[in-house]
Parts: sequence; C-alpha cells; structure tokens
Amino acid sequence: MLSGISVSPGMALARAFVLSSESVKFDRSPVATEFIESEIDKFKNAVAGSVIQLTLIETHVREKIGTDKAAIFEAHLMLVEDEELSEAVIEVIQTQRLPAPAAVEQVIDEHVSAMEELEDEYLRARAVDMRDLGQRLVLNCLGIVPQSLETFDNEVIVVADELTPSQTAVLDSSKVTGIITERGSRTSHTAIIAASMEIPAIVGVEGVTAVIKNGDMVALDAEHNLIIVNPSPSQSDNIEYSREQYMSELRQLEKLRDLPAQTGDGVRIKLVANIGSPTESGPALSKGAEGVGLYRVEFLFMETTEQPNEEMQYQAFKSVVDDMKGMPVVIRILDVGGDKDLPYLALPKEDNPFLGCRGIRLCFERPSLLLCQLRALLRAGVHGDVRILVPMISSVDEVRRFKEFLAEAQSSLEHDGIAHAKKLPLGVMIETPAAVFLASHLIHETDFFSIGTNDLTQYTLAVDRQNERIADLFEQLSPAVLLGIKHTVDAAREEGKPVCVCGQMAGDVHSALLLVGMGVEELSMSPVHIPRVKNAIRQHSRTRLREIAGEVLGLATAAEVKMKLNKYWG
Amino acid sequence: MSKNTITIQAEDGLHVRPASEFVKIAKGFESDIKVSVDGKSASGKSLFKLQLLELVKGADVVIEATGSDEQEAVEALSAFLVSLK
Repeated sequence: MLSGISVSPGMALARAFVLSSESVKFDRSPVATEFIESEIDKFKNAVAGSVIQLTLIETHVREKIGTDKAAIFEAHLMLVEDEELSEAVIEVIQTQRLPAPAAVEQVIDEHVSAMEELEDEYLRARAVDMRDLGQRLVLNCLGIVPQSLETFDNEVIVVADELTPSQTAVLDSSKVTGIITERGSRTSHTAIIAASMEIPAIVGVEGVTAVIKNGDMVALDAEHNLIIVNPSPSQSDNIEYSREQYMSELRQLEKLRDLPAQTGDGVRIKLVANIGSPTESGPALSKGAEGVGLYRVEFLFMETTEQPNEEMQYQAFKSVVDDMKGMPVVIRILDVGGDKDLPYLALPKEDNPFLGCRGIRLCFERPSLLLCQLRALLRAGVHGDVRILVPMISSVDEVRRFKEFLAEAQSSLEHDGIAHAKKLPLGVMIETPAAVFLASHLIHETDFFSIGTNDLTQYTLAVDRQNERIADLFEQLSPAVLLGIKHTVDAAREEGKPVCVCGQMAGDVHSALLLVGMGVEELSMSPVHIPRVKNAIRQHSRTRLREIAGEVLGLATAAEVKMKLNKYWG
Repeated sequence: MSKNTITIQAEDGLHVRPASEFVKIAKGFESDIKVSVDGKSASGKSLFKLQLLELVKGADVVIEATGSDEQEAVEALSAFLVSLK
C-alpha cells in the first residue's frame, strides 16, 4: 500500500498508464562535416512527424474536449512549422555541426530564456508551451514518438513523475479516472488541475513510478489517501462500492453550488477559499467560494530564485482580485521563517525557529521586503476588495508598527504618482496565545480577525507540529484551543467586527459546525471542502448549534469533545 | 511601404489564440510584414519571433508591410488588432 498527499478527492479503479520519466540521453558532440546534411534531414523529418502527431491531437482535442484547449495545439502546430525556427535550427547544425536533437535543444533553450525575460506574466508563461514543443521535436529527432495523454481507449489511472501543463490541459477526464505522481505538493500544478477537473489524485508518492508497472491494476482512494497495486477481488469491490457512494454524494452536493450557506434558522455563513496561487481562483469559484479568505503568498515567493519584485506581486494579486469580481480577497503578508525557508533571504539558523524570527517579525527585520509587498497590495486594491492580513502577531505594538509601514508605502506610491487604494481593511491572524489574551485590544486597532487554527493549536498546546514523537498531542479539538477561539470570537463580536477561521478546522464538517455554534460566521478552507461544509450548515439551525457548542465548551478533554460531536453529528 | 500603429486594447494582450490568428492572416499576404513594439521587431509571419515581443494591453504596435499587397495587409492586420477585446 502506498500513500502521498491527497490533493483531489474521489476513488478510481483502473489499469495504470505509466508515463516514463527518464529524460532521454543523446550525444551532443559535433558530427563530421559529411553528416551535416543527414542531420538536417533528421530535423526536417522530426518536424514532419511532429506535424502529423499534433494534427491528430489537435483534432481529437477539438472534438472531444473543446476548441479552447485545442488552441494550444493549434499554436504548437504553427510553431513547429515556423520557418524562423527551422532556419535557426538548421543554422546551428551547419555552423556548429551539432546533431539535430542538440541543435533543437540549443535553439529552444535560448528562446525560452528570452521569453522568460518578458515582463508580462501571461506571455512569459507561454515558455512552457515552447519547452513542451522542444521536447517533442527532440524526441522525434531521435526517432521516438512522444507519449500522448489525449487518446485512451479505456479508462486509465495516469502514473507519472510530474505532469506538464500541456499534458494536463488535454487530459481526457472521461478516460483518465485518476492521477498519481511521484513529485508535487498541495499547490503544484498537477494538484490544482486535478482538483479543478475533479480527477481523484494523490501526489508526492515516493518511488511510485518504480513500483507501478504499465498495465497494473490500481485502486486509488484519494478520500483515505491510499493506493493499492493489483488489489484483491474484495479490495476492488470495496473501492467500486465507495466510488459509487462518493459519486452519488457529489451529485447531491453539486445541486447546492448556487445556494447560500445558510443555517436552517436563516443565519448566513460565508464560505471562502484558501488559495496559494492565482490559478486556484477558478477551482475556488466553481466550488461556490464567496471570495478568498486566505491567499498564502509564500508559494509566489518560493517558486522563484530571487525575491519577486513589486510588479510580479502586483500582477499575481490583481489576477486573483479580477477573478473574484468584487468579492473580498484577503491577502496574508509573507509568513516565512519557522518551517518555511527562502534560500535567497539567507535566513540564519535558529534553535527554536517556531518561536523565532517568523511572519511579521521577519518582515520588520527586512523593511524593503515588507514595503515592496505593501506597495503591491495597495496597487492591487484599486481593482477590487483587497484586505490585508498580518501573520504571527503577539502584541499591539506590532500592529501599530505595521500601520507605520503601511503609511510609508502609501506615501511612497503617492510620491511616485502610482494609482493605489487609499485605505484597505486590516486584519490580524490570531495564532498565538498572546493574541488571544489581547484580542479585545487588537480588534480595537484593526478591522477583522482571522483565526489560524493550525498554529493556534501548536502555540497554545506548546506542541511542535513537526515533531512526530508528540504528534498525538497535536489536538485541534482540545478544550484549551476551543476556549481560545471562543474568547477571540467574543472579543470581535463585541466590537461588531468580523472574524474568520482558516486552517484545517474550517474544512472539517464537525469542527465547522462547532465553530458556527461558537458564533463564527466566516470559514475559509480549501475549495474542495466547501460543498460538504455548506451541506452540513444548511441542515442545522444555529440556535441548536449554539446549544451544542455551549455543552462542548464545558468539557474537559479533547476525547470528550470528539465523543460529543460524534454523538450529535455521527 | 505601408505602415500603421495600433494600441492593443485586449485585456490579456495578444495571447496564444489571437497571436496565431494574427500570423495566419499575415501569411495570407505576399508582402513582407514587420511588427514592432518598444523598438523590438519581428516578422509578422512568425509566431516563434512574435512570442518575444511584449504584446500586452496598452502596447503600441507598429505594423509595416512591403510588397505588392502592402496596403491590404496593413489594413487587414490593423482591423484584426482593433477587433480584439
């Protein structure tokens, strides 16, 4: 049995289609002069072969998937036949006597580097297509026909090292019933696409491409993060049964998409999305998110080798704000340090990183890092409802200091004559016990709270989330954590200001109901959890939830809390 | 030689599909076609080269054509760029 990171729920039972991940090896040393002509011929044949393959793919995609996705391959076709490209490759073969695949590689690499220097994010992203195309030409030069994911006769589970954007763009979701990759994370491209196409997927499965062979029967259970290779008949039956159950539940939930998350007695709860990159706005909206409750910018900072500049940040923020069409977008200030490192910041090693220079503490230490973010945020604020969220607050002084930085960013934009929002709502993360105790002071200085339950649990219980020896002590439903949340919610409500809960608790049905009972009216979660949480909220009255929450808050242990919740909500 | 300058109004600039469409139209003419933005230029008949131009919203694009059908070429390509929303 294998497992990894379950990124898109559901189950599948099908034969494996293993995409070979080994990069092809070929000789790059110059050829003798008399072979130049034959290398040029190899290249021309590779072009001809690519044209045939791409034409087939393009037709298939246009008929089966849609003209939108087919446009990518139309562009590939036009590029592969482009005379300027051919001339460039042939020139390299002639002048440097490189073999055809090496010449293609060189021309494409140079072109991709030039594209990556473009300022516009969208145009820059097209470099991916160029790389894909280059790979196809190289393989064809070597007489290898690239594997294609567009045309399957039977249902398959795709197993790969990692999928490229163009591979996922054309995945035939009627045939590809599951995805398993060796690399990848919760925020990787494959994860996002799989979730948006609703293909069950588990990523980050170590060694999977070596374990699963082409044609193996594979049972994929992304609900329980489980992969069984060549399952027994009874294991197969189980998966089939759970899959049917799951599909019928999905069909029921689908009907709720455009209905409000409203309790039986008419209290409107706002369900918003946690996202890590602009590409996740689409999936969030399709699950019925009413805005973004937590945009984690760390991903934006991690996918580059140097600090993203103001323009890059602004473009990323703007793209989410545009997608949300006036709905709120809460953007959290960079929260690194602790377990998250950024090599280019050269952070010194700390003995207690979680109690060290992380979140806003680090931003204060690096004023230019903070000011650059604030300028980008204020600029994005012109395009919609942008709200700023400050992580790792443990004193009122920090909030005041943050406001000074915000004012400085504002006046510098004023000075430069750049369009920006004059005022953006400001909120703080409640994730330290200090912030809980200071809640009534903090809310006085700010516009909203966002409770990060994962870190609040870690800091309240003094349990390092990473330490496996004490993993069983990490308990979000500990009464200590619940009382902290209750205190925070009450402080915000007394001032009439909103409080949102993000973190794992918000996406868990039982915890979400409990939070609503405690007075929380906004929950931010991974989009995939929204339908289930909405369904649960619609089936309960807040009056009753409040009574249950009252009982739960009087309990002494996490075990008792869980027992109580199970008793009421099964 | 025939020449015209158009400011791109399309929100996403000249992304994949319109860029391919542009090249398709350009290839329909016999004239040589040059496209310039910000001092960088490329053949209007090569998507490969056009990819390196900053063809974004607000960019001023200069279209130049030289040949027997230069006037029609510039008109057709200008009309196409203007039509993009």
